[in-house]
Amino acid sequence: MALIEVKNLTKTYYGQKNKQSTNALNGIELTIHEGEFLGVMGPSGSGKTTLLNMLSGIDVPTGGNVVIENKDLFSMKTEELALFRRRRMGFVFQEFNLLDSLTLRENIMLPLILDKKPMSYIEERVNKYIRLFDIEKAADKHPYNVSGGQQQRAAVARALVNKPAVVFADEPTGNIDSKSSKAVMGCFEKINEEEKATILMVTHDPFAASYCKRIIFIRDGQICFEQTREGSRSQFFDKIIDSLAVLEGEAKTNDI
Amino acid sequence: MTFSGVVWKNFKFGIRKYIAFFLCSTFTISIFFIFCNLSFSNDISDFMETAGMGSEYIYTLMVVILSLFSVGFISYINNSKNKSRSKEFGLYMTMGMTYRDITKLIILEDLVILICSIVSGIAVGAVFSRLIYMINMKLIGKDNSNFVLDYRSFFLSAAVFIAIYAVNIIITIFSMRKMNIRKLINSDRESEYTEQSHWGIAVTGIILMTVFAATSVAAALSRDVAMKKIPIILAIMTGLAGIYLVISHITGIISSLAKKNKELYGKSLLSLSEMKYTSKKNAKVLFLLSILSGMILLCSASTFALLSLTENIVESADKHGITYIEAMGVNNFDDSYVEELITESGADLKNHLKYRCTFANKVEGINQSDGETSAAELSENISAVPICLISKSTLYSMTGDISSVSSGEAQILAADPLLTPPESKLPEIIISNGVITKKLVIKGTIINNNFNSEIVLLNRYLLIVDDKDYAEFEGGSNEFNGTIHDIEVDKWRKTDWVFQKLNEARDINNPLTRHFIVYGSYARYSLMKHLYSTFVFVTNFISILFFAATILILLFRQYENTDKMARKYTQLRKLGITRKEFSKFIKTQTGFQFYVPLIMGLFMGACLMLIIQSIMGGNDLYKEFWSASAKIAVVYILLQVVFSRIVSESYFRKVIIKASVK
Repeated sequence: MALIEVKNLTKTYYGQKNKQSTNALNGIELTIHEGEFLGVMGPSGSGKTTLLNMLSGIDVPTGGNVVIENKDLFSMKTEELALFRRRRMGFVFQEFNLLDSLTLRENIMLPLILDKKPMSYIEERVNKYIRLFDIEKAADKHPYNVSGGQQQRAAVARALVNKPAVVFADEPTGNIDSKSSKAVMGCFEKINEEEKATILMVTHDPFAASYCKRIIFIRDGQICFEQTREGSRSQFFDKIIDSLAVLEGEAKTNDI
Repeated sequence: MTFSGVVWKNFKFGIRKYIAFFLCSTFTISIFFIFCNLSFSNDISDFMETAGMGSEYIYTLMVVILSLFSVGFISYINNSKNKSRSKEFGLYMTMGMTYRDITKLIILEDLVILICSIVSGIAVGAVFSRLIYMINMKLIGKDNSNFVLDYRSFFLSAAVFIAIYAVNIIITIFSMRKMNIRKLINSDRESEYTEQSHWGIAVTGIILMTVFAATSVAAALSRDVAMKKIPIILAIMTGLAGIYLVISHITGIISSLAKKNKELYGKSLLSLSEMKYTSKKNAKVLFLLSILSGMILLCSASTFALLSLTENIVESADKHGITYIEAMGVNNFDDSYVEELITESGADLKNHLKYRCTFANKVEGINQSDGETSAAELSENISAVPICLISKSTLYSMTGDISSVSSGEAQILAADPLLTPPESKLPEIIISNGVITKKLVIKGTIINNNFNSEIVLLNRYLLIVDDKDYAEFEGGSNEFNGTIHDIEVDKWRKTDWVFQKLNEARDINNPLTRHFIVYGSYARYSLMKHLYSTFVFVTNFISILFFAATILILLFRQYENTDKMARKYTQLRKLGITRKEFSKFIKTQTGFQFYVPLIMGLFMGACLMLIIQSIMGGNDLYKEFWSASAKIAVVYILLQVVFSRIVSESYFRKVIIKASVK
């Protein structure tokens, strides 16, 4: 069943006096199904993060629409969209985006606290993810006192704690070491398989992308092609490397 | 690029930060300059000297208070400016800049700001000095054409602020040396909050505050002069320490209390965690704001209360009328003339009582001076102001007090325990009227609040002697004998005209005239109003200054936190916080910064007013005094509520504008 439907999505950034405008997204058409783990890959400046920002309603497109759970994101009022984001979406960012004033546990609690859920329910949900992601020892520490990997696992837990319809992850392994990357991606895989969570992840990292079930490759604001995982993760990793080489090769050919 | 190029580029990039610092410094220097100039004004110091009661020190005291305020304020903004740049300094150091280079950078930047602030601050101060001087002169009813910009104000202002900046630069350099690169780079993230025993420290703070409150109440209730000196200063210091301890640990306490109720903890998590996170940094600001609030309330409420109570204070006296001493050719009015004046004024004469008195013009063992006595006279221990003697029977008929003096002894009659002359501590004195000379043993002091001795005679007291000794002095020389006139009236407010006429009739050529003034209820009323007007002006000026400083500090603090708050808004917005919820969060944070100092300020102001009450006396007027003060406090609270709303609303808008997610 289609969870997210994207139709003819365009985004143009205008320079001064409408000169030097840049088309960040150029008529994207995309369908994401429930329980899917979708990766978005592409070179720098290809429009990956812009796409993620549009899909999550953080930024407004120049044209087209995004429908999540049969609701058109951009026909919602700003505050309605904020509440929709709170209840139906989860976010994981490259810079973790944890509040320094809160402990990891409190950071994970935050979406449920904002949604005024009862404390017993909040504690039950939070403890579940703290155990699941193995951050019990760091849970009562502030972000600046724990490792990047622990921070990112807390960020993933925060994104999932309110049972969102979809989790958006923007370069979740971009700021952490390989060991931590493995742990964080393990978390994503676990919740995708065990909880059937829908995940959309933007990444540069072929290793992180190999955890996805499907990957779309974009360049110059357009989807070039996609790859679906068949077989083992290592086979999929090789396919991703090949696809990236093709993508890069096409880019160079175009430049010539 | 050269080092000076880096400095210049850096300066241009952070211009907004420097402008905020520059404006705050200019404001402080200009206010300081205005008060310096007032304190050096001859007209004002002449008036203050004649007003007595230590008021000649008011402007000097204000300059001292302003200096202390300037030290605190400039240090705070300088510290904030440098802290906000710690990350930048850390980055410079990773690129190879040494402590020495950074020190040079700070010194260069601060020097530029210092020079600009001093020039602009003094210029602004010089312009407004004239205005403030004119208002002052108008209040004290003097000609305002003698305004001068005293050169000492320029030097003092420049010197004080150069010293403050120099100390700040030294402190910054030393504190920078303690930091390592990692700390500097992470300085904008790490909380200064440390988990510690909040309860123990906060309870200690509450105990100290209680001691302060209890001492203030005890001082207000007690008429014991000893209560009003050192214990009061100690109590104030204790109170301030208590306030600081409570402020610095209040968020820890609220947080641990909230944690006991899970639902409450959940609801307040975001706001409480933010307050806790910034608690150590906030504590200093909140403490400074509490002191400012306390001073604002004390200055405005107590003086407003005093001014509005002037009439009640005079009215509360048992008797109303006119008092003067007729002696040695001074105040030689015809009784019928005085009574006729009173009848004509419509004041309704009740009684015209007369009591005999005599004077001794040579007093040994009493080192007193009217300020014009020559050194030679002093060395001979000769009193310049004749001392007034009355017999113990006269005392009884005049005040109803019974004196226990016997022959060869003397007692002092004074109007207020605070005005007890030092002579009362002497074991004995020798007095003479040229014919009779006697050695008298001093047997203490009689205090009578309704007796106007301190004003009738400039030496502020009378000497009570045994009837026999008195008769000897009175018989010895007629030249020194006189009469105390005590005229009682029904409607004292109408005696204005009588005072005017009697003062006109006084012989101004007689050098003794200035020692014997015509005094009474109306004279007391106009003197108090006159004196309080200046107090009200000075204290209200301080209140407005402190209020402006309070707002300035809060705005400065918000200004430096806007970027951080915008980042927080962006983070929370992505998590789905609504604008309304974030606005509530901002209001809670701003409210905390407004209301904690307000509560502490109210507490401090109330305690200090109790102390003022103990010094001023007038037990029967407490109710009116506190009701007038309460009115001012209510106005101040309303003002703070309104400002808090305005400031939080504008802060919210600024944060939204700065945030990358709308």
